[in-house]
Amino acid sequence: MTAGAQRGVIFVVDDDAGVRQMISRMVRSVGLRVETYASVQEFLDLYDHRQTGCLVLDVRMPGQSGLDLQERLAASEVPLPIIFITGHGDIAMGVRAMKRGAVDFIEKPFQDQVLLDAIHAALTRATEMHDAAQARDDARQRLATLTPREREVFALVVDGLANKQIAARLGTAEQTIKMHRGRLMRKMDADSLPALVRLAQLAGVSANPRR
Amino acid sequence: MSDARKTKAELAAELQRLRARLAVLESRSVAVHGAADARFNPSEHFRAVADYTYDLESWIGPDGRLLWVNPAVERLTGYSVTECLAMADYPLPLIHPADQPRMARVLAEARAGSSGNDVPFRLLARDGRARWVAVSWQPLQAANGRHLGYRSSIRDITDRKEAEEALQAQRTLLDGIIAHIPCGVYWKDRELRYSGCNAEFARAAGVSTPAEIVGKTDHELAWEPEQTAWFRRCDERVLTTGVALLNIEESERQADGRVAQLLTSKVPLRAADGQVCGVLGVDTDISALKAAQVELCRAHDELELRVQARTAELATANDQLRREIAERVRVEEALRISEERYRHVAELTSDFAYAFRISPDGSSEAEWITDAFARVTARSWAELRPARTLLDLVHADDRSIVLRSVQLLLAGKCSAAEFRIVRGDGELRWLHNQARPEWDEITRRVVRIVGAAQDITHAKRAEEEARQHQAALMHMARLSTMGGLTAQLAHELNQPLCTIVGNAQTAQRLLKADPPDIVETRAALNDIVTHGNRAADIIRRLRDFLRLQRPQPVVLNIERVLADIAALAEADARQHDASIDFGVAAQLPTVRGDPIQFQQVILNLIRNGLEAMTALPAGTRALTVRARLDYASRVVISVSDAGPGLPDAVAARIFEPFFTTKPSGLGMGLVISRSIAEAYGGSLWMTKNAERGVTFHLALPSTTAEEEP
Repeated sequence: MTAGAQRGVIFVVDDDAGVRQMISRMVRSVGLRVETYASVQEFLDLYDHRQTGCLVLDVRMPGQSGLDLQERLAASEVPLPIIFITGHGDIAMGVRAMKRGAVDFIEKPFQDQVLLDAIHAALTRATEMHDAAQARDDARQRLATLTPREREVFALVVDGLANKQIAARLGTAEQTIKMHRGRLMRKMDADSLPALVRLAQLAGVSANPRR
Repeated sequence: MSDARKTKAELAAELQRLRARLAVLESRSVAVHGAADARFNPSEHFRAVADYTYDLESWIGPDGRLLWVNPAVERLTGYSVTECLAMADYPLPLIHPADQPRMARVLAEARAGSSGNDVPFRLLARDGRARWVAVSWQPLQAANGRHLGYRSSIRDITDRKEAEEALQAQRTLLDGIIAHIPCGVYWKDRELRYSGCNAEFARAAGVSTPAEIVGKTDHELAWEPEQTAWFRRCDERVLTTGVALLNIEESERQADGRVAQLLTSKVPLRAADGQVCGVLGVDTDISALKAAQVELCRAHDELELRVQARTAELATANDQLRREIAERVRVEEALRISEERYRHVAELTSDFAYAFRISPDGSSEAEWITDAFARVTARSWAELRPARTLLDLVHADDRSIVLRSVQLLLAGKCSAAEFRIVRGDGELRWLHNQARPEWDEITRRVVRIVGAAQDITHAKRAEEEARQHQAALMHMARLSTMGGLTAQLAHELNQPLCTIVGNAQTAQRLLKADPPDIVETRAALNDIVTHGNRAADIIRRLRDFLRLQRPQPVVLNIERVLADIAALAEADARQHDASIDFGVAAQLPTVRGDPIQFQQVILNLIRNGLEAMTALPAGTRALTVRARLDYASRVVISVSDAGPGLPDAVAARIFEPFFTTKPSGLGMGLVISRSIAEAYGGSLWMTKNAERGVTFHLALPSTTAEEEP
């Protein structure tokens, strides 16, 4: 349990003070850190991006709704998993929220264990997301060290082309491609092709547009 | 001259008479002398004759003294012979004082030797009576020629004098008549010369006095020649035939030039021997009469015309009258039909009419009541208390209504009231009673109350049913409003429930800890209580709002009512991502109304406002609710949205039943809202906002001016 405390903060955004305080009390009772906000705007104004944790978000609130916030966070790649709580059994909204990556969609009133389990799951996800973000950033940093020729070769290798095919594509000798490949493997710190492909995914390297 | 002639004639007659008497006396004297020749004493004998002469004979000596008088003096004067002989101045004392001066002269002449005859004067008798006498006297001479005085003979001429006076009076009368009669009167002799006329005729004829006409003929007078010829022909005919011509109408040009119309009568004048000696004419001027006659004819003609005109008028009037009579008959027939109809109505209708007489002491007495009374009340009029007021029938709960109505009537106002009565069979009936007072014109006191009562039980039932329908409809509208609210209210209810459950479970966990966190547990329990109450409040409001019940008007505090509404509307606003700003003016007066209906109206307006703003970007959906006092002391609650507003075509119809712009709308919300507003004497209307959206206004009369606080 104490491990959770190290894992992050639970951000509660709900316009209903009673619910807000109740969740806060519930979360604190299991030893987690909690911060509460009465509206999306208040949260956006006060949230420090370096803080990790998860969001417990009321779907429908005056002003910006929970779904609005989900969209914004996704766009800015903030690694905060979201648990939606709602007073309405609105299935369509739930599906949409889940598709966008929500950890859970909980109807009020709810059993404390349901929320707490969801919070734990979210925190796990948060850690994962944090790690993934870390890996992504690493990959990007390494990618940045490649020469343009090496990036071209990188993309084609990830695409699954053989050296010979790449040489033909780029109009150069197979030997030269071998040399580029070895160099970029080293730069990217990849010991195998699958590792290189994962890094490519993390760094966002996509297939050659000319193909 | 005629008098002179007359006197002469009379003298002649007198002389003749005297001669005759002398002859008689002489013959008597001869007889006396002859019979008693021896004893004949002429003196004695003459004395005897003289003494017995009827007239008063006297002998006055030359010295003027009375020598002898016969006894007739006593008969005529009352004085005896002796007394007379004793008078020194006989006969003066016997003469009426008025005649004395004249007679003194006569006596003097007589003494002087004259003779006179028949001089009239008045004797004054001893008893003061006067009588007319005439005296004749002659001087007496002896054979030797010696003057022996004179003798006088006085004869009583009273009768003659009276006859003369009567004649004179008659003559004067006749002259007067002739002079003043308004006719021309004239007389002519056989030669048709005028012998006389009156002044009237003289004027017409052109002579200055009647005397002037004597001897003239008609040729010399004013007339026209042919008129003259006509007059003379008429005159000659009268003279010839001796028969009067009466009433001849003729025209005559008179001296003044005027042509007069005359009505003339001519009668023959006859002498003592019966021979016609002249003609008497009487002209009556009938010019005026003629003119009057002409005028009369004209007047008659005119009268005739008028009579004709009047007759025509009368005929017209008669026609009119006939028509009026016909109309009257028709009206009477109509009246009869109407009366019959009225009678049918009175017999068949469920209404009954009545009249009460109000005495000056305020007591009332029924004058009449129609038969329907018994049908409506299932009671007979007679079975009521002696006072027989309708109050006896009225349901105890409604008596105050009827008493108030009676007070109004006695105060001179009309009254209409609805109340229940208890029928003879115990059934309740609703009556609508209308009555009016009648005044005494002079005292202005209410003397009678006339009214009619109608059995409106069926109408009342229908009304009650309608009210129930109305209530049901309103309920439906509320359910409809609620339909939209349900999800939000479920959410609303979920919040406290969620809070309660969460706090309860947390409290359990807190108590399991070692050591248990008492402080947090208490806070959780407090929150449970708070939000449990909150949930209960929501449920109460919901139940109130949805309850189907008769409206119960009470005095409402607007601020409190709006607070409830705000609570109910909050979730709705959240659902619409809108904000509602409530603002209530300070010290608003109370209004009268049913709180649930009031909420229904305002919530409906809020709901409409929220829905009007769904197309707006979130954050700009602001609804404003304001309560204020208007100029007419009405409380006005305004709900303004910031939506796009309404097209005119829609705005014009929003208060129509079943008009809606919402896919699932009933179209009754505003209709019912307005009917609720009007039921409490208020109104509901819409205005367009200056910038965006519309505002609905609900105005309700404040109760401050009204009865109970």
